[in-house]
Amino acid sequence: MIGRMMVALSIFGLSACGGVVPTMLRTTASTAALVSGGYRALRIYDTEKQAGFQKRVKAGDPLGAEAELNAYVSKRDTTLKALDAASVAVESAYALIPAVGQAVDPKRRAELGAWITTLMKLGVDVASALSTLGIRIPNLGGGQ
Amino acid sequence: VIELVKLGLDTLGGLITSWIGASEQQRIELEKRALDGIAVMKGERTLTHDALDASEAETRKAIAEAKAKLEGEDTRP
Repeated sequence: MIGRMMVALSIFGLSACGGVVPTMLRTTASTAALVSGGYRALRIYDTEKQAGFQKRVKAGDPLGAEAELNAYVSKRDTTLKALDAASVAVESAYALIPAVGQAVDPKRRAELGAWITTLMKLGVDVASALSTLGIRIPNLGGGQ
Repeated sequence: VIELVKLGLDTLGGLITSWIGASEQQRIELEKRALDGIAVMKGERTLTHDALDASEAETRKAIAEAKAKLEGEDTRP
């Protein structure tokens, strides 16, 4: 019985020390959802923009459409890069999450804490990059 | 008294074991949520890159054709 208690208390101690892991998992899932939403919103926005450019071409102004397209693509690609950076970071962060039962020492906990901050910052960067195109994600950066 | 202490320790042990079980269950659910989220995100990333490339190419093609048509009209005698 004492042996069972000792094992239980040891695992209890590790679990208590590893409180950063559930937070990391939640942040990873939330950031992934935000980035997915960002990609979807960008696709919808791009479809509308391209239709507008093609309308201008059909109206007989290909040079104007081309100038507008070039300016738009530059801004769009900046947003796309922010989304890509966040998505790569989400994957990297997930790969660092310790396996079940693996001890989380203070150094590792600090590292995971730093990743949580990084993911949150990248989430804000994504929202900011989307807003430069006029895309708003509800409940983040003012909503639509 | 010894029996009471044993009973108390057994109860405490049972409580801690069930707490760990709940914690592990929560961890499994969070892992699943994160993994599902990452899978969706990767799919959206590929889809978006492909869609943006295709729509831009289509617009540039339309622009090129319209420009060629305009140039043809300009050089018409």
